[in-house]
Amino acid sequence: MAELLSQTFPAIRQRGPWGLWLRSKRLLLFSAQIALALLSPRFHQAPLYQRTAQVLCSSAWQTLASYLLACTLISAVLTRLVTVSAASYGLSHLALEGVLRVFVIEILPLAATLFVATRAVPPALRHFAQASVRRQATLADVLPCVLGNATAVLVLAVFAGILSLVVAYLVVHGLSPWALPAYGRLIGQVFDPVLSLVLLSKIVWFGFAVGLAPTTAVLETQQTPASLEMRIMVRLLFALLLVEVFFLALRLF
Amino acid sequence: MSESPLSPHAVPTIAHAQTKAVALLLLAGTLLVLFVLYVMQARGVFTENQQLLLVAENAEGVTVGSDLSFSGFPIGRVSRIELAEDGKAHIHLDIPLTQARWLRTSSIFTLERSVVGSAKLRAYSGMLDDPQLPDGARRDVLIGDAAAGVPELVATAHKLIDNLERLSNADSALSGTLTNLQQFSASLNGKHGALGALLGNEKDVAKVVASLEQTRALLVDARASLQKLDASLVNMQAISSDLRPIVDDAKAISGNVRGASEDLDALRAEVDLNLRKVSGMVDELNRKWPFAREQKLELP
Repeated sequence: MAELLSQTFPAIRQRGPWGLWLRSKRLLLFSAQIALALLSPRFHQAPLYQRTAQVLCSSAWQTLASYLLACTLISAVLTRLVTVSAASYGLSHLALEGVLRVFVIEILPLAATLFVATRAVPPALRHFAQASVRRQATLADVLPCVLGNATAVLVLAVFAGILSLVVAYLVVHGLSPWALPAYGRLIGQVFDPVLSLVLLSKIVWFGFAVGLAPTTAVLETQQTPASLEMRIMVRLLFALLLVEVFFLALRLF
Repeated sequence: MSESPLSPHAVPTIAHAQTKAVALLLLAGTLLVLFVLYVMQARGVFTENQQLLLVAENAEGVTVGSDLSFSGFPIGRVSRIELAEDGKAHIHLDIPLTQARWLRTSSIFTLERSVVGSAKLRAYSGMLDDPQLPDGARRDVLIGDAAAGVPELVATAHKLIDNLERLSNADSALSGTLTNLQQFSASLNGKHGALGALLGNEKDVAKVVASLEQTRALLVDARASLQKLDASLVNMQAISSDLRPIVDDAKAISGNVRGASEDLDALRAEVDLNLRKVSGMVDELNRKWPFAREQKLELP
């Protein structure tokens, strides 16, 4: 438990394709170990929760109001745009379903992920990029960051998704309660069990990627802070792209 | 873990972080659970349903979760679609018991495919007094496909365009007719007007004009002749007035002649009588005459 990560995952000096393969393999092993540690009851103790609470509050609590306000505005504008455009083409019956499928299911989870990434990753990255931290970091040090940021993504995505559903209804039907049964039926049609599981899995994987990305700084050696930050942000975007492509492929096939 | 000298990472310490985090998680969890329950309720998980099986030639465009609508309101949901042994699509529907009253034994089910959007299952119940559709009923679906008519429409439009092209061709009959019509209208506007348009050449037009001139001259002559005839008739009338006494005399003479002819009739009758007497006397004389011969004809 107290084993240093710098010893568990020693630096790789090779260059070229073989070195790239070894570094990728080390990154995958590191991610797997973090995931296993998160599932292991051995790590779930009070100190982990205290630190995770700090990270969660920093990533989600303090930004919740501004994030929800932005989501409300964007979802209202987007819903209005889609419904008006669809109505002009005589496709108003498809507008709300389009909003739900595109905005709530595809865009909002990614937006929540990127919001947490821009808010929480840079300070964590700066912290883990310090030479002293890199040398002495253990699993217990990185777990709160991973768990806290992943939970923040999940929380923000849930809040924003439900808020967007409400905003979409209000934009289309106003305060009238008479369209609620039809709207509920539409939500029931869109959120079928398979899609709901896929959506939840995608949010979890997004959160895991955002939580994990800054902690991979402890594996890096001989990097200046600026180049390290850039390298890890690119790595995060690549991971998010992989997750998106994977779930897209999963839904297609 | 507690032995680690490192802070989780460089975040400012937040007061009551654990309480806030728990509140946040509880709120998110509650919202998530409520949303899941709402979706389950919207999907009819907690509703008591009856089953309906619709048999269609094909189930293209129908997806699990599609609505069955009645008068524009969803009253059921597709729960399963399968390809049956008879090669037809079997569409299984869940109809909530509260909505099942709209489906009757005489109800008709249609599957309509529009050019845009998914296929729509609709139910029509004309006789709401009929018995209610039983649970597990099986009905055939009438398929109305708006897109199916498109190829036929395209073929017809293609044929129409071909016809139009043939009509508008420079060698077409319509074009020839229009050209002739144009020539006709030009002739109408020409020097000889409608006559030139009808006859088509100067020679015939000149002939017709000459004929008209001759006709006019004839008419002048005829008028003069008529005047002469009128004068003759006047003379004839004068002559006839002069002849009238002569005619009266002739009438009197003819009356006298008629009387004379009646006397002649009596005279003729008397002559006939005398002739018959003479004839009888001759016959008598022949009979009494000694050299009288037997007058008998022998037939061969």
